[in-house]
Amino acid sequence: MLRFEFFILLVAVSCLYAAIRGGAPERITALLLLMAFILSLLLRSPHGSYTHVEVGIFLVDVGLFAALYLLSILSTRFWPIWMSGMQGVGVLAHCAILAPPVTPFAYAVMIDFWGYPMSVLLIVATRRHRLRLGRRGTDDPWVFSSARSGRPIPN
Amino acid sequence: MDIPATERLTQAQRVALRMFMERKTAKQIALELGITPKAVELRLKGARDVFGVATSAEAARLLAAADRQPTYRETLGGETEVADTVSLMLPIPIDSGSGHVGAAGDRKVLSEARTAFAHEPGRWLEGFEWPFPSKGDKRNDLSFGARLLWPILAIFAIGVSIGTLVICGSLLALAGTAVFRLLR
Repeated sequence: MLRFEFFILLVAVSCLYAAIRGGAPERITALLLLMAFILSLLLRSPHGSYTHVEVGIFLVDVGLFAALYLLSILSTRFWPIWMSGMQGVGVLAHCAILAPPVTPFAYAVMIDFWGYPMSVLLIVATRRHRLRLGRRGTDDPWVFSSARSGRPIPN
Repeated sequence: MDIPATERLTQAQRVALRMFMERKTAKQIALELGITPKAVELRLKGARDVFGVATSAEAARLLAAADRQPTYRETLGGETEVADTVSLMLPIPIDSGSGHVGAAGDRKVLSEARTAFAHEPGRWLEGFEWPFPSKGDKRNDLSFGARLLWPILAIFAIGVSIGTLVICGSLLALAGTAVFRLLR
């Protein structure tokens, strides 16, 4: 059970750090990860043995993937590309259980694993946002907000 | 014989033009070089005067075009008539946006010049849109298509790497067990 407590701690720390110190994409992701975590806990089948598709978790994972994919299209950050990649692999794991050779243990590992690297990535992303903010004074969150931050050079 | 305009540019003016090409603002260039924005604008103005053009974008384009012909002088062995003619010809057919005044024309010229930079021989991969922050550009300015594509490619990249790791791990474990049994 220690591993589960460590995971809760990691998610809490990364989401809190991103929510307090992050820019808009980091904050949104913190909220998304937290919501996905809580929903997965609630929707987990009560005596789940990972022998068949966990429909509740699958839906949450697909929703989280869609949100991260949208974020990687709209934000000026590179990390959502990789976070949605990780989440995508988690979604694919749900499809993999339909194929016979996948053991319940492998399924459980594949869908539970990605929370760790994603939380760590969120911490790194927030740290890098702070560094850019410190260096440049601004850090545009979205591609559509402006072509470049700051005043254009007069000709 | 005139010295080509690109060679009359000072090193400082070149640096400012190149950074302008990277879509940096005067303020950002100033921050990076540790000088004032006013000084940056002076350098850009100097560069415009050297080329005799009205906009920094046009000056940047001319520098980029000249950079595409980097070694004529060296390959032809110093300053010859031919070398000068060639380097002044700027053989890229570019619509310099004549007739368009202002931002739209500038943008066109800039994007042409950026393409010219991106396709320098030997540096062709620079035009490729990697999904990582690079040294010069920490901001994700990938095109819409690249943004659509990269997360999908990332799924496969991560999936394949994890799959390979798992397979290698199990093979190692198998080998380890076999060796252990042999030794016992």
